[in-house]
Amino acid sequence: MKALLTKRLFRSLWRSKIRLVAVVLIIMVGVMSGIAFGHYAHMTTNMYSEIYEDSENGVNLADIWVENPRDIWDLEESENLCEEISLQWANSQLPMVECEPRLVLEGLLIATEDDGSERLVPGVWHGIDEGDVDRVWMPDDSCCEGRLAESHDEIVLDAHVVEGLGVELGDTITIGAGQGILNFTIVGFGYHPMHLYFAAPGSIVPAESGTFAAGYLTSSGLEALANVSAGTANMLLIDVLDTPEYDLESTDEKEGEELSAIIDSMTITVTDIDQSAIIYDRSGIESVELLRADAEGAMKTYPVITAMLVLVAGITIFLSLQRLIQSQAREIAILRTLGIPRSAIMPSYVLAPMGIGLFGIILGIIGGIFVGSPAMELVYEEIMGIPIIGDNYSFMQVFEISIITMILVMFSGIRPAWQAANLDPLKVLRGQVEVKLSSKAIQQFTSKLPTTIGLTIRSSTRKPIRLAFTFFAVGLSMLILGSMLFMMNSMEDVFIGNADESSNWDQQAIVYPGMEVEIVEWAEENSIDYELLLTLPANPDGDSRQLVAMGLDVFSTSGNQAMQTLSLIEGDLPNQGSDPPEALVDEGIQHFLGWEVGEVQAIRFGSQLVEFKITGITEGEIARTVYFNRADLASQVDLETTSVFLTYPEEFNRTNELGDMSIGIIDKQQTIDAMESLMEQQQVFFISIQFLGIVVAIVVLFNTLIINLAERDLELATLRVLGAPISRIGSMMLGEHFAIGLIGGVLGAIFSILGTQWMISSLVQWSFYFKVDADPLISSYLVGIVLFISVALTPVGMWRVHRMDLVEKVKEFSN
Amino acid sequence: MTDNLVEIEGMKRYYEMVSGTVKALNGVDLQVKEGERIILLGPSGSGKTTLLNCIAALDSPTAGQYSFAGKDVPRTPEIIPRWWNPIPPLKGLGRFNRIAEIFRYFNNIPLRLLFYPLHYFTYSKPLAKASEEATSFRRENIGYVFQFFNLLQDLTVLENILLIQELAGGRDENRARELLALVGLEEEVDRFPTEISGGQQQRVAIARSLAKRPKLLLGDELTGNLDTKTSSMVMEVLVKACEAENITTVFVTHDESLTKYATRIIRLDSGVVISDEIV
Repeated sequence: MKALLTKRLFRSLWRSKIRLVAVVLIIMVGVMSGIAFGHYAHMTTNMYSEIYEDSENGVNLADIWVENPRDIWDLEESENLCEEISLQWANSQLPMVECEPRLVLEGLLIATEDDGSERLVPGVWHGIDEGDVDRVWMPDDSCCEGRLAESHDEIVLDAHVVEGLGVELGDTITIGAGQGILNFTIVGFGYHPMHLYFAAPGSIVPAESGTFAAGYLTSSGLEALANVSAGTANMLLIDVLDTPEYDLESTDEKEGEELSAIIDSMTITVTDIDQSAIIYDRSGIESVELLRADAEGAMKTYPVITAMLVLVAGITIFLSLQRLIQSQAREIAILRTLGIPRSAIMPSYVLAPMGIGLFGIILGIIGGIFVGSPAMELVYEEIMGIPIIGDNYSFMQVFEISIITMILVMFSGIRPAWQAANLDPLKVLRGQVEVKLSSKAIQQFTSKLPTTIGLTIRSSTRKPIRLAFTFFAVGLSMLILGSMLFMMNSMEDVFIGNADESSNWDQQAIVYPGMEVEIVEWAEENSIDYELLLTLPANPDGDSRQLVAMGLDVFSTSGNQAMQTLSLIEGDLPNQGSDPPEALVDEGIQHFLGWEVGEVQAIRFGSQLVEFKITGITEGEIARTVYFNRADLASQVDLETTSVFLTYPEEFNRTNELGDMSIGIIDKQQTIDAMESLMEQQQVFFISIQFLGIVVAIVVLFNTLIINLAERDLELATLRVLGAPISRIGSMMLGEHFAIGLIGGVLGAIFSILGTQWMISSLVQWSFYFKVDADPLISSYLVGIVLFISVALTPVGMWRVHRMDLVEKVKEFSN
Repeated sequence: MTDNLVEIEGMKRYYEMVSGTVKALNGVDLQVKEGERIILLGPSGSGKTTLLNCIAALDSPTAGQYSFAGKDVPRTPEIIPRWWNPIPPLKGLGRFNRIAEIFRYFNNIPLRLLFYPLHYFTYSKPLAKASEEATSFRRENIGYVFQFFNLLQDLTVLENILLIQELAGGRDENRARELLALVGLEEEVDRFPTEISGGQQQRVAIARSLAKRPKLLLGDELTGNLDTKTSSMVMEVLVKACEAENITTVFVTHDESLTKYATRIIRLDSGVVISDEIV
């Protein structure tokens, strides 16, 4: 008997095929997205740990870096530092394994264009040899080939650069560092663990291939290039046993207390010898931190997105089943009257969503594994520019998503099933349960309106719970769509807006102390506008996280008075020569450290503590930044300039002269191009997510509006029999759909704004901070989409009324 | 030009069923004069509801002539063109028939998409046009009273009448109130259908059907859901209202006791008129 009842139910479901397909589709989308995003999360997490594995298989990564940002150490100094560090090593469970001095210099690569002209590409050169604490990584993939540099005139070029420069193994390239320029033969293409996320120093945007270079030379090769003595270093790479935990920038907890204690003790040891040295753990390496943050962010967001989609699927099933039961109430009542027990009716209604769910889940698994996951891999490879290694499929994750979906689907069917089993046959057969009226308040409100409008409003609000569920589900789908749009818009504002609108310079020349004099003379000779800049890494006092202290000559919040304008959201610009010096801090610092205008705070440059008074808060910075007057900062740190902003006259012919006078050049247009290129690369990804949101919204609205109409079959058929023209019925539907679309759209937009802000606030971290603004254009777009979907479904409803068999309906009236 | 309101000649209505052709109407000739009150009687399956549906232009006869007030009544095409089901039903597959049907269903989708423009211009569009013409015909000429009243539950008694007026293009609250007074419900105008009795609901339905001044009022078992006393009351109200408004009526019923309200009784059996008697 139960089998027959179940068969009867499935046949009924098959009769409402379109709705059935919609429900299956939404489950499929939920599972598919969950698997795809989950795969991305596991892939990035596995990649992160496998690449940086402290073993023969991985490329390893230092646990602590000691950096000399202003100068270099000779062989004796660096060996002495390593020895002192080893001797003074804190009494810890974490012994030091190795201290490797390394020379890493910023420089330039002279690239030859197709037309024979030369172009300067900023770069970073590592004197790495084979590398002990970290190594050049050449995975078994088409990206990489060749071998490590063995002689002083050989170089391994970073594989990210190959396409942009159009170079091959055996080619000779010309690179410079400091005042030296030499030719090197390319012997290999590979990656370095500090440049896997390939961005120029100070930037978090992946560099477009060919706009930034990294090369891995022998120590002697780099020493020859920079014309320094053997054993010179500006960095110490310290490896600790295994991979200890370190303090994550994204959390308030102190994760790596033991490592922090070592760093604290080491700071005392090192700054006794060199005051300017700075010491940091992996959180201070932006490339590594961004990869970790990406993996962590993906791990955090994929369950949320999956849960949202599955929840929407659950709501859709719940609403559909409720409608099904309503339409079958008479049948159920007859069965109950004939003596069929409740226990025989309920299982079918529990089995039905499970059957639908199983089908949707199977399709979702197929789509997730064969479409979603490969697409995510492609996105990762495109943006990061590194190959996917290892087997990253987590079948446990697929299983988990499927089981959770199935449980949710089953739960969404339980209440309708209970309702079905507990229908009162007498009430149903008397027709009492079918009568569901709008509230008294709505009736009163609409009584003064034309009857057609009143009926439309009353009909729409008859089922407030269904409407609320629908709005909630639409809100969730808009959150998926809106979060992408708001994020894209904010990122574009921050990245491109900052680089384009706030920067009134064409190029920024990076210099060693004293080199700026030559550039200033050259600029004055050629009527080039310039402005000096002092940029140094620092830490808030008592905090290991890094920030950038920036000394500007001119402060301005608008126009082109300053080479770099700021967006001041609170307070005033700092005055020069105050005691303590005055400074601005960015809103990220305010967010993470709670620093406020008027407070006196301190930052540390190595061992040197600098106190300053906060006069204002700025916005728009991705990295944490403190802005001083350059003269104030220079007097504190005993350093004048680290780079020069340059604005060229219109007819100025750029040559390689600047390259000879500086150690690196940042080109504004190239930066903007790189950012635009990144945005473009992510377009496909963003569009896919947007599409997902729109599909979900369509399915949810379609489901509800069709249910609304199906429920009103009797009303509509009566009106048709009595001669109501389709145009009037269409107008009533249009009004209803417009109202639902408008309310749903506004709620969806609000949901989307609040949800995105919540999501962003949980994802931002010290090295990557930005906030989402409720852009009115995007908000209107979201409202417009829901409104459009809703209104566009009117013809579906009219078509449904059109094809209504009135003869059959009249028969139903008489039964 | 005749003075007949309805003229039906040789009307046939056949239905193609799995078990064969059902001849619901098999050559009916009928003329209805203005002001007549006709009751159609006959056993189940005799074709009386089909005849009523054809008169209301809800259904289209397979053959025969039907004119209303001297004009041909619009009818809708019935046969779905061949290209809409490009893959014919599969037969002789025994227990695999259902699987084959599902296969055919999905295989027809791309072919239907291919033929859709042709289908739309040669079938869907004309069908929609004819369907709207039939609706207009009903709106302008026909009133209909259902067995289960079919009042819109979310509208008050008065609003149920106003809605039909609005849909027909002219709201007239005074007339609506007059009609409710005519059926004895002037005190119930602001009540909802759930708040009044079945007999009262049917009287509202009658008032509603008269709201747009139809030339012909049709009723299918309109007292079938009422007890004898209430049925009599409803019929008396109906007769009074139709006389007052000079409306011709055709009612289908099983109930022989209602014949006392008729001016003409027509009996059907097996799709043909077997007797036609003026009372």
